[in-house]
Amino acid sequence: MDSAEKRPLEDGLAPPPREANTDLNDFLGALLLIAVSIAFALAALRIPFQSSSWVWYTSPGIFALVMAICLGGCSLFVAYRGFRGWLRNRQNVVQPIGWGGRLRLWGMGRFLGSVAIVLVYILLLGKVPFLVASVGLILTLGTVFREGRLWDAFRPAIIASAVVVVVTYAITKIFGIMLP
Amino acid sequence: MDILSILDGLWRLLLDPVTVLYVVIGCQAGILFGMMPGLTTTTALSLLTGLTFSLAPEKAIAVVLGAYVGSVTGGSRSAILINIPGTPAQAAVCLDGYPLALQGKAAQAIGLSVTASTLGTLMGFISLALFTPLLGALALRFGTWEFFWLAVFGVVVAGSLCAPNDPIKGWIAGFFGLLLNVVGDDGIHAIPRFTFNFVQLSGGFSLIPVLIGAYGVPEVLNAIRKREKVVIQTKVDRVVPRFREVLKHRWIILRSSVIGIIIGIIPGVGSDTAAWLSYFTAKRRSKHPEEFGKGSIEGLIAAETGDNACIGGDIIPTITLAVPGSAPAAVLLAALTIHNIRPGPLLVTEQPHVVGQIIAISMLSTIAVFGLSLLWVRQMVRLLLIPRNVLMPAVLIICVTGSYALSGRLFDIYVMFGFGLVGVLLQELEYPIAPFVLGFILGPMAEDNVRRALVITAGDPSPFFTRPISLVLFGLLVLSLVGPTSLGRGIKSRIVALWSRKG
Repeated sequence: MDSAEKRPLEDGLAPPPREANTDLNDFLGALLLIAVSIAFALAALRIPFQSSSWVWYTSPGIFALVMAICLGGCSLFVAYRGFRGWLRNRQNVVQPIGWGGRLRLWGMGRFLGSVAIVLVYILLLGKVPFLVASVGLILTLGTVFREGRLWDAFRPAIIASAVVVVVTYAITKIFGIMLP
Repeated sequence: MDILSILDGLWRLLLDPVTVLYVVIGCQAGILFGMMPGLTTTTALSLLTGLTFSLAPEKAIAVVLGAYVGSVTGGSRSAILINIPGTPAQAAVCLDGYPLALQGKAAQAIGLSVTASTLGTLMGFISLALFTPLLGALALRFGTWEFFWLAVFGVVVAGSLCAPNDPIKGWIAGFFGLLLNVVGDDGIHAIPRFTFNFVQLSGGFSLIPVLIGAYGVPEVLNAIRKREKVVIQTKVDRVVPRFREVLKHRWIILRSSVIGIIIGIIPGVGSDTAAWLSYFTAKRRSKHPEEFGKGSIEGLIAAETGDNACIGGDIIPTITLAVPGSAPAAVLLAALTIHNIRPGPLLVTEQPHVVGQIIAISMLSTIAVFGLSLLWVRQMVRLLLIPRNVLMPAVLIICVTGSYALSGRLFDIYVMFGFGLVGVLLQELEYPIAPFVLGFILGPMAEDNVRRALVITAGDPSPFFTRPISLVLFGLLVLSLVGPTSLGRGIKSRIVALWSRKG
């Protein structure tokens, strides 16, 4: 397993089958959902069940509490199932590549990069004119995540920027909406 | 509501050229969205609902309905030419459409798929015209107890059917949607819930930014993440629908239409299920099942008819019960509500002209999409060659514009992005998005009705189980919960075993 982990991706190793990681993913994802349900349940319990305006069955928190219990209960089942499956299979599962390789294959770098750029764009809205920020977004994403040479990526990005400016302007005129 | 209402709606529509123009704009936008891999019908509708907010109701609905029909039909273009379904519903079209294109029959495949789509859509809308008054009359007997069960049933069934291999994940997604909907002021006592004293949250999360976020943003981020190069293997010269060939497959069209309509009526289950079910039924019944997957015309027609017939089926419960038949229908429901058209039993009985207008717009959209699908095919195919890393930022900008347009708050853009990240996480963990969105939409219906029902009976829950329609809905809910589990399978096999022993 170790030698396989160290082998470069270029060796032609196929990405690990989805099933190999499903149990662990299920377990971790369910833990996250359990945390959400607990947070909602605790917040719902802080809303009084009895007051001068309502009784328990019309309490503003009752529906949220029931939904949080349903979500938590189902998530607990998935977490248990995932953990049991992971314990059972972890000896048998052979990972051809390590975590780093798998994240790279998934495209984590590109994903985090695009999220960061989009986040900056969204935070700039309201501070920078919308069309300027939008052109900046297209040029940045278009060139940062290009496949070939810079100019080859730059040209379609410029054309797309121009099209977006025209289309956005047309949309505001046709549908009469405001821009951020 | 009768045929006269529909004809009246159609006549009024044709007399208003501006609305007709909006139908055409909506159809064309829908076709463009549908053919772009990664952009779904729901994304198209969410964006256009936001963008058309300031238009008059009939014009806004014209754009949204046009886009609905256009995007479901448009998706087959990329499925046939580049083997990438434009929308998930067209995944079944790839199986035979792309092999046909590789055989040099791309034009024939596009022509046939467009014709099958049009016939399927028309059948769906005919069923809409026929069944809406019937279901509307039945829905008048529904009380607050039945509407509660209907909302819960919709979420649970959507969960079961959207995650057939692991229904519990579908239910979790549904419960998560129901839970997130409670954020904001309580509908009865106006008590702030889960707002953390944040005034922007007092109205809760707006539906359109949530929809755009859940459907649009993950598509944008995933398209940038993946490295995909689009290659068009074949040329498209002339697209002419082969009517004789279509006529030869009339039974497949009829059968697939019925399947599509029935699947459409089931809450939360959309065109993709209808397309696959129609495809496999056609394969099972075919004299040449071996041709399926290698360029079968029957397979192509079945999948295309099924997914388009689903539109009409989707709209039936949306209009009569305010329970959307699928995720795009949920957006349609939101669009109607935003424009002060309240779907439900009363809409059918008290405002039949509105229902007639909706059906008339749908019929006109079908005809417009048919015409537009045969026009500028080559030019539109070239759009598929736009690099993803350039196209998707442009889509994101439209997402931002659509989210902001509704209430002019930057907060809605943050909500959109936040729900986009939630959508990515759910997708990666293999939780379906549709039940999540349906839960979010049906949340108020479930919560308000259960609390109202308990107020009426002073806390006595027995009417939930003793009223006849309530009992039926509860029984169906239990069946849909137990059915996919091992207990359900065990009971089913026992019944089968008992039956065969008796026989």
